Amino acid sequence: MASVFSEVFDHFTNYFADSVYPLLFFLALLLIFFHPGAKKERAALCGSNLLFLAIIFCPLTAYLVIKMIGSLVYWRMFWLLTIPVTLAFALVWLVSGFSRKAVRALTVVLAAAAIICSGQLLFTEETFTSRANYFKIPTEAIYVAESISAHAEEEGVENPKAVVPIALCSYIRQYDAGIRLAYGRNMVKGEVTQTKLYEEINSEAPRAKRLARLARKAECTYLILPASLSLDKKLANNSFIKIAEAGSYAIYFDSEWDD
Amino acid sequence: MAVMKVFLFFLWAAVLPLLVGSCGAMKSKRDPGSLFLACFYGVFIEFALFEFLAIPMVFLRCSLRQLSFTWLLLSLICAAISLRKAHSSGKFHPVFLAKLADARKRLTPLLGVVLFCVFLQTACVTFRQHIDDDDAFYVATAVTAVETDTLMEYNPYTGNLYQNIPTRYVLSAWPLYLAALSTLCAGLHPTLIAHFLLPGLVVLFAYLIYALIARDLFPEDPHRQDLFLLFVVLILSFSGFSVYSSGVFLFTRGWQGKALVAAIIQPALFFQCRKAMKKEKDKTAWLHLFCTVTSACMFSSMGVVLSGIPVGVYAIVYGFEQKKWRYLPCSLLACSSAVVCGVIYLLI
Repeated sequence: MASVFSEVFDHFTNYFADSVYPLLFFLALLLIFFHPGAKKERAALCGSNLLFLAIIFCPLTAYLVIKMIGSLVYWRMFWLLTIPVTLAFALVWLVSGFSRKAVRALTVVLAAAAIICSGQLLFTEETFTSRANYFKIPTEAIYVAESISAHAEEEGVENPKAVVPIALCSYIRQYDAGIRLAYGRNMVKGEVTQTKLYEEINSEAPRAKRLARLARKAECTYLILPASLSLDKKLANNSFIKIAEAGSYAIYFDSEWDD
Repeated sequence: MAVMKVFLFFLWAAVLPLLVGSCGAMKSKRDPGSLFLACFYGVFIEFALFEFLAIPMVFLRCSLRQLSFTWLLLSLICAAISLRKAHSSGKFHPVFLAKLADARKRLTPLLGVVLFCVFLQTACVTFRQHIDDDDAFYVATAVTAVETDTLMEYNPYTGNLYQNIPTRYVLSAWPLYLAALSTLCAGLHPTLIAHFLLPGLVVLFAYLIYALIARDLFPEDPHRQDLFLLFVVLILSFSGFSVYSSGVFLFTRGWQGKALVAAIIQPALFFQCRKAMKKEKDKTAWLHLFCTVTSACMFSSMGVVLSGIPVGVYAIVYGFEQKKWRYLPCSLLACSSAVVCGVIYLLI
């Protein structure tokens, strides 16, 4: 049970990181509990949040919930706390406690400053970057997918299957699910399929012969590699012909493909 | 054609729920005819309806088209019945028009600041990008469903047929909702819906719920309601202290089901439980609570736990406060879809 509690506490520290929001939240609960004006909402805000905290931190309930949802995502239990509602409600009552308009305005400014200083702005260049396209996926993935499907249509390849480097595998099928992949993000998540092919294509210096053999074994008609690797000739010797370049990637087609 | 597709998207995703919820909003004792309330009720009725259709259809291996058009047909029938009932009350037009006139009068400088901040946030999530690798499953599931006209039969990572039913995801039909919208919007790409059109709507819907909560916490006090919303805007904007906070999920992953559980379901349950247990005390409030819980199950498997616990907690808290223990069995009934989903998850 002690280990469960320490696990929950780890999730708590990860969830709130360096923020002092938990302290603000605790002060808000105290204010709601003792403020006569906020008395009506004592049960809804203080009672419910205290019960949520009890469920989250109680080793027995935590153990049961972890059994159900898994330990990795237990931090999502902190979503239960109605922090925005509770904090905002308490701050409104704090501001309303002053009768003079100027003092009220000053309190609003101070409360806003407290939120700003204790949190971290979400709308930064780091979190939201410039949009590359309306699909909001890497443009190179779109180029690669379009090149494959155009070529497949031309050559009459039905249900084309490709093997792509790890940097692209999450995005190709978000654009065109008509293209099958040898492995997807499930490989990164530990599901074992096409391990050798995955390791070879994502190695620093993929060996053309081995790569072609493994791709063919996995029934991949298309092979996508960083163009900078310059494997055109070696892959051509193994019947994978370069058909296009899309951004920094080169697309190869298995000329031995037979429907 | 692109404009037509976007028009259809807003028609099915925003206008239709408003019509479906109009009857519930007209019946509200405290705030009859509220457009926000109509939208709130309608959205969750639509999601619950979709979940009820999707789960059996997935197991029966129906096509995406069958699911999409059945859902649309039933939604239109619900909207027609709702509008007829609202209209037959005789107050429908006057109340809605009065609400619109009120909205114009309500615009204070403080509310103006709030609306401006919400507008900026909506614009940011719409026109800027945040790439999340989990979309390789969620968005690709929708794109795969559209491509193959099937319901969760293919592995979205690779496009291969599933060997076994994806038990962890099969009861949460949210990606199929994106696919159905795509089908009903003349083939509008599901990734465009998820990444470009939906995030802004989700942000607006989250604030709509907070606005309803503000009205509920501070009835007849518009100034305090505005102040409350200002603080909520600030708190959510500055919730980037870790990648796990509900604010981060709202703004950066608003198209994923689990983000909706964090950012939409939690405040919605707070509001809905108040309505059912503290304020209106009518049976339809429990029905709407049931729809909200079912929507949580539709969004994510986590929704089963993260809707059942809060409803139970609010039932205990309000039951204790008012000495009304009948809230416990009532909330168990309202959570029945979560209970059923939970049992199925444990069994399959």
